[in-house]
Amino acid sequence: MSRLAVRRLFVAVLILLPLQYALVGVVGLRWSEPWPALVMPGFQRVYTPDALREQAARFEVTYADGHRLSLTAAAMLHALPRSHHGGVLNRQFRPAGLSGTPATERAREGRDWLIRQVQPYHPEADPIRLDVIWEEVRFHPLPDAPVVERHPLDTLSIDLR
Amino acid sequence: MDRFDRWIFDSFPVTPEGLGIYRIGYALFTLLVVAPGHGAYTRFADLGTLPEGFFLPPPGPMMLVPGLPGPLFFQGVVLLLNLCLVALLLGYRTRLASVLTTVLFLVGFGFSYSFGKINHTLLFALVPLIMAASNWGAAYSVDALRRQNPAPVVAGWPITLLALLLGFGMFTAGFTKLIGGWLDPSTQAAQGHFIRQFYTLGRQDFLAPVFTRITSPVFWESLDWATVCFEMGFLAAVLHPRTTRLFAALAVGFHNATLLMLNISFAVNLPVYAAFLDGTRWRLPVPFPPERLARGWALGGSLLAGTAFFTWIGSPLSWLDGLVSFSSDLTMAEVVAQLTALGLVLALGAQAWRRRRVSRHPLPDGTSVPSSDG
Repeated sequence: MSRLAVRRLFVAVLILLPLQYALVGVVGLRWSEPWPALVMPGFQRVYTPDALREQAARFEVTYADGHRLSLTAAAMLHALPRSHHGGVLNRQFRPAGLSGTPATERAREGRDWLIRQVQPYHPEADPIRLDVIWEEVRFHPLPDAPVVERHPLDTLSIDLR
Repeated sequence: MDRFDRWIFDSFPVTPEGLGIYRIGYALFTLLVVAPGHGAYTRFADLGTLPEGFFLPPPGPMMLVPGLPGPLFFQGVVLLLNLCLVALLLGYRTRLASVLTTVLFLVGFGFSYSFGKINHTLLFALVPLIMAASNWGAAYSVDALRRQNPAPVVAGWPITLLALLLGFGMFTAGFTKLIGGWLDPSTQAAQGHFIRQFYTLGRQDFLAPVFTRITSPVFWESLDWATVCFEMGFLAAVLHPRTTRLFAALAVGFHNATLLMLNISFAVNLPVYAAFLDGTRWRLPVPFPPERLARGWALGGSLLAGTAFFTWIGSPLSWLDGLVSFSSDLTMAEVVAQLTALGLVLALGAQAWRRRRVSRHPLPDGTSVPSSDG
């Protein structure tokens, strides 16, 4: 590339970088973070350590013979990186009662896939229902910080029959 | 205009050999640590097993994709990605391999981030595309061995471009924290994130348990301020090569601190920081690639064997995971890469400090200090 072309490239990049960042902010407010975009992890949210509340999901499967089994998100979503599980649970496995929109109940559309995930844990009987149980988890202040309270919020029940 | 030109073109002097070694380093790091097809964030083939209904592309070009392709498509992406990386390692059709590596990473990551979560790996994926413009295949490459024309001119401005993109990216991380309230003395944001990672995500490895006992608001607030100042300051740092190198070195320390405390790895940024090392005196002790690999069956066989190995067997470093079991989602390859980078930064820092001391207090005539070249 000629020096002039390189110079022009740098000028364009210097103009485009703030513009794309502004776009990330606007699109992120209205929808969700766009991709690809040149941003780094922000960890924007500020948690208060002495009153940390976190919404967490766990899975409970009911089989045709009455057997019930609890599964973690890590066991259910092992096809995805662990750091993606929180985002995927929020966008795909969250009851409309919590999110305000049925769009977050997309997991219902993956019935066959869900059956394939839970069947190996109890091959003797067919799975008939999957409950995604959402709870609010509260922690004590440091330094002990054990889980002190699990408060049920809502459940997304998916019929697997 | 002179200063602007000097910043663009003269900030990072390069040699064909230095760029060649950087290219080999990028390819090796990617094959061994990022491990396309096997790494936690590059097991693209698994995406093809997810239900179509889960496909939820983020705003952007992925929305134009009509649906989730099947596993065969993703296996093809992994295969081609490994082929391009092996070609990059050997320096075979370097420019094409560089461009395709970036494109294939963008495709793979694009699908991976279409289920509800985005990781910030764009800069890592852009490195080959940007460095292709530097002619990083001019030395230590099959292209160089087969070349009949004069060697192409190498350019340092892509490294300045990389610095600008990195500086801006880091600035966005700091700015997001600033507007999020990280500097409010009544809240300790780093502590809040640490507790959340420790208790809800099970990130309890390395020094994490030690930090549960630290309750001093002064300590945690100083971490909040240091993080925001460091990340936002990166943008100003890239205006000068020396401060760019200093901040890149600090970033390696910063990522190791988050690794040991929060058990979060950001090893994908290491190849970006490595671009700012002064490679003008780098030389490989042995010819690479061997002359006999440059042509015919030997070349084809090397490409195929390398691609097959990394596609179906994977990174030898992944075998280290069998030795240690983490409660977090860290892998040994990431840990080894980050700690090695920290060791390198400390060694280079000590070397620079020794040189500076010698230049300030010259030794009497007749004595000598071994140079960095040995």
